[in-house]
Amino acid sequence: MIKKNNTAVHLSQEALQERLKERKEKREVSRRERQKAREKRSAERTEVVEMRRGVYDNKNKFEYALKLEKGLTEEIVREISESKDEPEWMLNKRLEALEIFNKTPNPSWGPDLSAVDMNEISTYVRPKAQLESNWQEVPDEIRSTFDQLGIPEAELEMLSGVGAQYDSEVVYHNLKQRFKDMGVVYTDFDTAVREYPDIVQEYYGKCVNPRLHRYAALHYAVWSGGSFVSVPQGIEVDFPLQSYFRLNAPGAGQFEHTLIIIEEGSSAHFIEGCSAPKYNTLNLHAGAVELFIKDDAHLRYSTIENWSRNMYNLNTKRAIVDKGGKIEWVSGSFGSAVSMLYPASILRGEGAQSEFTGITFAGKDQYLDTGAQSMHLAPNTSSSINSKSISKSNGIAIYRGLVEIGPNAHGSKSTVSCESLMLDSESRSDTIPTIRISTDDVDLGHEAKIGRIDETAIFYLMSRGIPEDEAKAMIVRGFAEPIAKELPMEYAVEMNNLISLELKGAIG
Amino acid sequence: MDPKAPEGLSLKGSVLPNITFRWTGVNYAYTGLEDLAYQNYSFETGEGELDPKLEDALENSGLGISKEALQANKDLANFTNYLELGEGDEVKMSLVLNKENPVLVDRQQIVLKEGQHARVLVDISSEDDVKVLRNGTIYIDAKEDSVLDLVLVSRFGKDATSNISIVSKVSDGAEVNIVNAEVSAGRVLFNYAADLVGIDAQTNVSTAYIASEEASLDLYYNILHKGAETLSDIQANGALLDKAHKAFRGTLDFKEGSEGAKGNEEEYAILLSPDAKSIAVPLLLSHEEEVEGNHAASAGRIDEEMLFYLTSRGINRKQAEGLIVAARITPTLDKIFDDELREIIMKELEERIVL
Amino acid sequence: MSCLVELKNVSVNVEDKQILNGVDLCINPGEVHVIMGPNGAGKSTLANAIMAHPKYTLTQGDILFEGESIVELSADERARKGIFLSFQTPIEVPGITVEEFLRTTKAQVSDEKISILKFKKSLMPHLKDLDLDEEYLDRYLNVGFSGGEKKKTEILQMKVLDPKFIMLDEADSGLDVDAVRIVSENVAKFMDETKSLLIITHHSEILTSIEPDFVHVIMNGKLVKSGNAALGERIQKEGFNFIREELGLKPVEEESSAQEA
Repeated sequence: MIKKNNTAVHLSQEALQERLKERKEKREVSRRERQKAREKRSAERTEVVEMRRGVYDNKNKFEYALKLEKGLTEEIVREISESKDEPEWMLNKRLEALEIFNKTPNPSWGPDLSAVDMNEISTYVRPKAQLESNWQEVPDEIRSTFDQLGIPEAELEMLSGVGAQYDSEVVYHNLKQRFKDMGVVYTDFDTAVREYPDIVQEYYGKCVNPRLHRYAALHYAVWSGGSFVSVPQGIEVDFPLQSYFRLNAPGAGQFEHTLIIIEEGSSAHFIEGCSAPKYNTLNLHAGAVELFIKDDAHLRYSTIENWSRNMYNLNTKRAIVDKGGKIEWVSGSFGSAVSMLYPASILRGEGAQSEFTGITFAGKDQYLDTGAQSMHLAPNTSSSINSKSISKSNGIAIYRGLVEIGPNAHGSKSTVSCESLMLDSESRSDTIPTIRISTDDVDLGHEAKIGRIDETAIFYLMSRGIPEDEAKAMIVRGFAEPIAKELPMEYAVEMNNLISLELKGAIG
Repeated sequence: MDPKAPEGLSLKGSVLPNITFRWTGVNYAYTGLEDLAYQNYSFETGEGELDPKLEDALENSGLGISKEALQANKDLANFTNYLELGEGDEVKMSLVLNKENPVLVDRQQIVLKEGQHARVLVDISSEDDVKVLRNGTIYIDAKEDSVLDLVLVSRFGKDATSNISIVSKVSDGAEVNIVNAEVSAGRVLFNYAADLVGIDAQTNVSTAYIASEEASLDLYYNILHKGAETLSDIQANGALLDKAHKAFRGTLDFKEGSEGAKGNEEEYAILLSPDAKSIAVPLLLSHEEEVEGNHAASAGRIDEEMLFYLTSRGINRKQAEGLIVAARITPTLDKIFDDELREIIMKELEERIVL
Repeated sequence: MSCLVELKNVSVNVEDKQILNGVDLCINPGEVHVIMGPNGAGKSTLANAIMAHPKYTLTQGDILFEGESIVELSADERARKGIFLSFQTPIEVPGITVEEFLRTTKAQVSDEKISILKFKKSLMPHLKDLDLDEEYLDRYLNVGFSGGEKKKTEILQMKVLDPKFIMLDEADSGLDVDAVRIVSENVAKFMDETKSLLIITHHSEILTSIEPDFVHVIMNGKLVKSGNAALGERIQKEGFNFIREELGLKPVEEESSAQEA
């Protein structure tokens, strides 16, 4: 049945025409204004110059003890395993992963990964340096790179241990006697495979599965280096454990494996810092981080990634949290050409908690697809995700996240907050969250916003004598402050320097 | 790692403009249109001839549930309606699916003349326990400074499958307001795409839903902000009962040139059963700095304190739940300009939640 | 005596709309000027144009500071010359603490490196004057501040930057009586014969501690009347209609704010 009538007349035809004319004129005025504003903006836009990265771009002349042929075959995988003198089970895991890798396509979503060509990547580079136990014995060239980055000197005193990875081998390691006495194990992963085979075999691959995606499989086929931490029951490690990874060989991928086990009631803070010089050939980083947080244990995992601008950073990080345990992620993504990184917290024990705080800064030609995942599988679990992104000069910053509330996760809570700041119209910023809820007793909140720097705020700061560039940098730093606050001082400083460097136009 | 499809279903539709983790299964919905074939719909058909230009515009828009669904809508249409509306026009239609008429392939075009304001109400329902299939399209052409208020009410039983693709082209200063009320136990795909091409073009969507039994309700919105100073607002509120499954998938897409645009989407789902499932994928895509995009999603049970307060005043728990849900969706229902229909929906709500 | 600030035939547009139309004004060192006028007359526009707000375009005339034209200078450059505007609505800047902000601005304006500890110590007497707690320095600039706190922050910035020419834009709006008193006392204490003050206001509370030398009335973008403190008092009592009459304009119903004092 269709009924048509004409009872709801709002305006007479004359009044309508009048209004129409008015609105059209008004639009024409605002159209002209916008055009003018647009022209002004584009005239003002400072030309972005290739960022000078100072010491970050220092390339070292370095001799490699062993550099395998490019491309990935079963022979290569066997060779890697053999050179490491690995047990049979590890070789089998590698071969199994290789098979999965060959069968798994690139993800159908996200950035284009077709440029990642395995034939272009020699997967394993081993520096001449052997494992050192004393900083003075580390080869000069490697040491000078670290010195320029200001890594250990400032921190040796306060840090409990420094594991510095240069290319694929851990070259330097130091752990205070105190922790040895406590039973805390902190070593490179190759050593762990040899010296703690039972623990490694129990946990290895149980958190990050090679079937997760193509680059997880690749990782398990060719992994090399990385860190192993085991904190026994009831120990509070009150200094941060730190590892600084460097990628320094043209065409070489880095596939470090990190395995951390925090036993019941213990706590620790692990800092993973990454920095890499710039090369023209493709670089791939596909590490895996597996974190096990037992009942009432607590782990904070902080990362500042500043890979060079040709890096494909396809890293996988996951934590499994048991009853009453807590994982805290602090994550800053600044470098790389392409990043795909979504640290996952699997809350499988009742009352388990996760907190994610992250910032992503996508500058020229960068595609940073990052985010976080909270999976609630047990009752009364809680998670929070606080993500911020900044994009400029055609950079693409994507927040991609997931909150999953399973059928058993009654009484759970989750909050997500995403904020994106776009510094110009050439950049792109997307927010792609997914929320899946399978029980009624949940408390979930999600909010996101995209915007740009408020012009009045810039004027306000300028009216106090601060130049425009600095005013903008200040506002961006303020935007990033909640993340910087979570970082150790020297990393916060590094992050603020990176922001200021990024914002410097042609004048700088 | 594709998630498992519901039994017997394979046709996909309403693909996200920007897809994400495959295994989450949120990238698309299953249309359930496998068995769609032509059947006569013995009902007075609409007035006017469809405008072939607008048919092409729909086909070439790349919007709607899927190419296949749009093609089937064109090939198998059994109800067509062309409405060219002027100031004060009001059109109400009520279509019923039952044993005699189990298939509806409706194809409508609504054209709003420059500067005019009109409203249209479409109420579609199916009789309980009858297997029915519906595949509809509505193409809206809102000319400069016009305003369309479109109310879509659908009330489907558990054996119903309904797909509706609405595509609007909104010109300078025009406004398309959609109110949709979904009271469903079946498989429903609601797909609204707004092409805000004009300066100051605007679209507002207000959705209220009650999904019960084994309902699968897919609410999909895709707002393309193309013109400067364009505005959009999506509000979705509703309740999930029994084993109902709802996905809210809304995208605010700020294209280059949409400077000064503002978009907002908010979703709130009340879960009244531990077996209900709720998915929310609120996307914000931005290629333009001078825009404001906000989204918020929340979900949860009714606040125990509030329930306690109401029950302490002598209202039983079910009634209290009904009251709270009603309070949530009333602002949307109030925009339905048909008192009788509003009454019917409130009664349905009561039946499904309270009784 | 030469003007500290001089406006010569200044016209200002906001987004193609003319707000100020040929304003002339000379403010000598040590003088206090008050600008009054009905809502929308262009009072705030005057202050914003002197401060180089990007939305306010000078379409005609010149603005001189210490005898030199400043129209080509950006806001920060003008600030460094010693011009200060207390905003009607101070902007919230999340993530930047009050102390950090003050230190940055001070370093910019005075062009010297500042020791963190010394600087913090130097702030203490100011905080006391303004009745603010020390912990206030660690809060993010204006974020979540009450109206009174925001205005006190503006005055704190003024004290730190030590400008020569101060503009207070509706500094007394939205404040309780105590806050107005604190603000006006602090401004009065700050003034000396080398500094000049321009107050834009509806109210007279701010003037209890500060005696104006001149009162100007702006209407429809023009300075239509100037006088001494007595003019301000008369406007407080009667509103602007007597001026409209003098100008041969139609009287209008006054906005309440002009009379509530």
